[in-house]
Parts: sequence; C-alpha cells; structure tokens
Amino acid sequence: MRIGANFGIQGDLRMAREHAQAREAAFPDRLWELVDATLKRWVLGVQEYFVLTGKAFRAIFARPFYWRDTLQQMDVIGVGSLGIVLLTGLFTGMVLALQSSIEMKKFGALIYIGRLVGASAVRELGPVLTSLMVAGRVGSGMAAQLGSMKVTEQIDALTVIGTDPVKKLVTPRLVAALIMVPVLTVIMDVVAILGGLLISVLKLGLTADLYLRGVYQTLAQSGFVLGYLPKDVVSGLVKPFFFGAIIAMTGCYFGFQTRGGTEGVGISTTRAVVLASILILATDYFLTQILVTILFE
Amino acid sequence: MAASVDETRVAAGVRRGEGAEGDERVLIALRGVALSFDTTEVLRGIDLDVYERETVVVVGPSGAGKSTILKIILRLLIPDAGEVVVEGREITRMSFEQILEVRRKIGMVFQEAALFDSLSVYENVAYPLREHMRLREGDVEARVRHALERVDLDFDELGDRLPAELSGGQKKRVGIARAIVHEPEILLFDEPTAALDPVTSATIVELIQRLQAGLEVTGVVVTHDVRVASRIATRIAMLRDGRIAFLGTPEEVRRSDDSYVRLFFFG
Ligand SMILES: Nc1ncnc2c1ncn2[C@@H]1O[C@H](COP(=O)(O)OP(=O)(O)OP(=O)(O)O)[C@@H](O)[C@H]1O
Ligand SMILES: [Mg+2]
Repeated sequence: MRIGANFGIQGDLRMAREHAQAREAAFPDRLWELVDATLKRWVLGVQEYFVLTGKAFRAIFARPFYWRDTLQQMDVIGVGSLGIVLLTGLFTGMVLALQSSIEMKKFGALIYIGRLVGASAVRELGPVLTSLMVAGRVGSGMAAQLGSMKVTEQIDALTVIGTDPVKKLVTPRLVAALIMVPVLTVIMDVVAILGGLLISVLKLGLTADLYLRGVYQTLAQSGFVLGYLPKDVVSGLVKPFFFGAIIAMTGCYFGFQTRGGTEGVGISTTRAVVLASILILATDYFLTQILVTILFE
Repeated sequence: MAASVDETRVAAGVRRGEGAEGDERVLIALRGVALSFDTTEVLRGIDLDVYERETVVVVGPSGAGKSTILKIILRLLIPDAGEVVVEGREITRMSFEQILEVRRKIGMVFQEAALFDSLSVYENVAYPLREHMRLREGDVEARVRHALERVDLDFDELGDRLPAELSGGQKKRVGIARAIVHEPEILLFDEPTAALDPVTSATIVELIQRLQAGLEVTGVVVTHDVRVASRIATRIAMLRDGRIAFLGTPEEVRRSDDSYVRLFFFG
C-alpha cells in the first residue's frame, strides 16, 4: 500500500516535472509564434491602410470623379455634424472661461481671459475636439455603411458592374472630410470664443470689448502669414486637413475590412472610432512639433 | 486559337447537350484552377469549358466552393494556380482597365441580390447603364422599364421604392433586372432560387428559361436545388472535394450509376 502510494506520488511528480519541462520548451516557441503572427498581421494592416490611402488620393485626379457622392458626403459630414460641433464648442468655451477665471482672479488677471480662451480654442481645442466629434459621429458611420455594403456583397456588385469601389466610395468621403473638417473647425473656434465671451460678460463682469481685444491680441501676437492670416489660425487650419484624412481613411479602411455579418459591422465601427481618435491625438502632437518649428521659429 | 480550343474540348471528352447547336465557341474556360483560404483547400484543380449559349449548372454541397467559382470568373478572387479564360483572354493577370472591359460583358446575380441599399429600384437597375454608356435619360428609362418587364415587375409601382421595401423574391428579380439591363453576353447566377417559396422559385426558373431563349446568353448557374438544375441546365457540373466529380447533361445525370450522383440527385 505504502510503496504503491509512494510510487504513485513519485510517478505524478515525475510526470509533473516532465510536463513542466515540456512546457518550458514550448513556451518561448509558442509565444514567439503568437507575437510573430500578430506582428505580421499588424504590418500587413498598416501596409493595406497606406495602399488604400494612396489609391484614394490618386483617384481624386482621375476620371470619373463622383461629384454627387462627394456633395452628399459633404452634407453628411458638414451639416450632419454641425449640431454637435456647435454644442461642443459653446460649452468648451464656457467652461474654459469659468475654470481659468478661478485662478486668474487670484492674480487679478481676469482681463487676460480672452487671450487664454482664444489661444486654446484656435490652437488646440478647435481642431482636436472637432475632429474627435466628427470621428465619433461620421467615421463610425462610414465604417458601418461600407461594412454593411461589404458583408451584403454590394461592394462586389459595384466591382462587377465595373465601378472602382475606392473611387466611388472612399474618394468622395476623403474629399468631403478634407473640405468639411477644416470648415467645422473654424465654426468650433468661433463658437468657443463666443462661449467664453458669454461667461466673461455675464458672470465675470468683463466688457465684451475687453474680452475680444484679448482674443485679437493673442492671435496677432505671434505674427501673420502673408500679411494678414494669424500664424495661430494657419496652424489651427493645417491640422484639421490631416485629421479629416485620418477620419475618412480609418472609417473606410475598417469598412472594407469587415467580415462576418452584422456582428462584424459592429466590431469595425468600434475599431474605426478608437483608432481614428488615437491617430488624431498622436498626429496632433507631431504636427504641433512640426508647425511650431516651421511657423514660429 | 480555335485549334487549341478544339483540342481542349476533345481532350476533356466533353459532350454537348441538346438544344445548344450554335457555334461551338468556348466562352469561359477554367484550367486547373486551385484556390485555398488560409489552410483550407477549397478548389483543387477545376477544369471546365462553358460553350457559347449553353447553361452550365454547378451543383454541390454547401461550402463546396460554388460561389467561389463564380467569383473567380469575375476575378473577385484570384486563384492560386491555373488559368481562367473569358472570351479567349486570360483574366488572372489582366490590368484593372482590361478586366473592366471583360466584366462589362458579364451580368452577375448575387446570392442575396446585393442591391445598393441607398438607391431606388430604378437607380439600381439604371446603374450599369450610367456606368458604361452615355445615354439620354429617356433611353435609360426605356431600358430600365424593359428590364423590369422581363422579370415581371411593375415599373410604375416599384420604381421609386428602396430595396428595404421589397420582398425577398422581388429583390432577387430586381437583382436579375440589374444584371441583364446592359444585355451582357454572359450571365452568372448564384443560387437564384435559394430561400424562396416554391411558387416564386418556379417563376424565377421560368424567367431564366425565357432569358435563355430570348437573350441567347451563356450562363453559369450555381444552385443546390437539383430540380432547378435539371430544368435549366444544358450540362450539370457536380462539385465535390474541390474537383468536378461529374459533368454531363441532365439526361446523363438520370442515367448515371455513380452512387454519389444518385445520392445527391435522388436522395
Ligand atoms: N473570404 C473567405 N475567407 C475564408 N474562407 C472562405 C471565404 N470565402 C469562402 N470561404 C470558404 O470557402 C468554402 C467555399 O465557399 P463558397 O462560398 O464557395 O461555398 P458554396 O459552395 O457557395 O456554399 P453555399 O452553397 O453554402 O453557398 C467554404 O468552406 C467557405 O467557408
Ligand atoms: Mg454560395
């Protein structure tokens, strides 16, 4: 009995040791395989993203150009996002004025509130917030629409009829985003400045004149491009071009990648919004770095 | 070119079905076509010649690769090996412009119709015309009306509807109208009667028969409905394990003593 039990335990121990050794041997291999496969998929994905972007840009200059689709997309992006851009801009400007007033009051610097709101809105918050809102509203819509066209074979049907799906579906969305995101950014800038004005006048007791002069001073201070365009405004308008491209390309890329029915459409939509937001924030940093070097140094 | 086509025909030992005596030009040829998705081999060497004005029906179990064959003929998928010849031209290595020209001669009816869901029935059917031809609006309308008549749909009633407002059978018929509106030489059907009730299914079979008689098109029809197959086929090709396991006229299918063919067709 005892010997048998001992035997049993020893056997178990030996098996356990052998299994552990086998696992140790297999572990790095399996891990490496996993990392390898994941990396390959990533590299391939990035490559496809850039190929699609290249094709979409080239198609802008090749016939046929789908005017009607482009105008329709401009309507979807521009008019469709106007509401959220107005609301976001207004509240951002208001909260910016309110928050900074607490600190500034301590130093008797309330008269500088116009400068602060103006600079933050035009340089950063306008472009970035507009783009994030449009990514959430329109980028997701692009991924969902193209994704459902993909899984219901409508994209195959287009191809069979002889339409280039990139030219017909991606390029109009890209062009529309390149035009409309900067336009929406300008609107966001203006509304945010007005939101700040509202709080400054109604709550902080500044005159409108004083506030707006602050806004003007901060924009004029860094100098002008071509004599009359403030550098801050230029930098704030270069960014949304890039962000617009990111929104359209990310939405379309994930739309085209969709597989696996309606569930796949949901996954693509989420991925499009997440990746577009991350890319917007990361690109913002690098663009700021580059623009500061070019414009301000 | 003609000689080599003849040779392959003789080599393949192909027998023509009755009722397709026209000139015996091979319009679509698959030679040794193989295709894998990831690690699964779906097609392992398909040889198939489709002659002008005949209708080849491809049957086989679900997942056998029937839809895949249609997609290869349209170059929506590129095979790993083998040749695909449409109207005497190899398509797998063609440029984008060249393949467009080939696709214009083909009409495809998709398994789930694949109507453009943001366009009305009218605009769906008009789409191939607008893409390929510069027609005046009056001509476009006349052709759309004619195509919808062919599939027994009322232009005035349905023209303005969106695909979401149609029944499954109506969608499929609009899909057929869109595929025939530019009068292609080749028609490909993916499961024309799947998921339809027997009556609608019968009208679609009749429709295909009328199209065969009227338009004189060459057809490749995928189905797993054996009754549909024997009613519209000049020849039936049976797909099994990635190869064509049987190829012959409906009459030859009835006479076959191959156990799998008998199982598939007669239960
Ligand atoms: N894009 C793809 N990626 C991976 N596998 C695929 C893809 N398309 C098809 N397959 C696989 O290839 C095989 C053949 O698919 P296909 O659609 O040609 O079958 P089918 O004969 O048309 O079947 P059914 O009668 O059900 O329509 C299936 O096993 C399918 O899972
Ligand atoms: Mg199929």
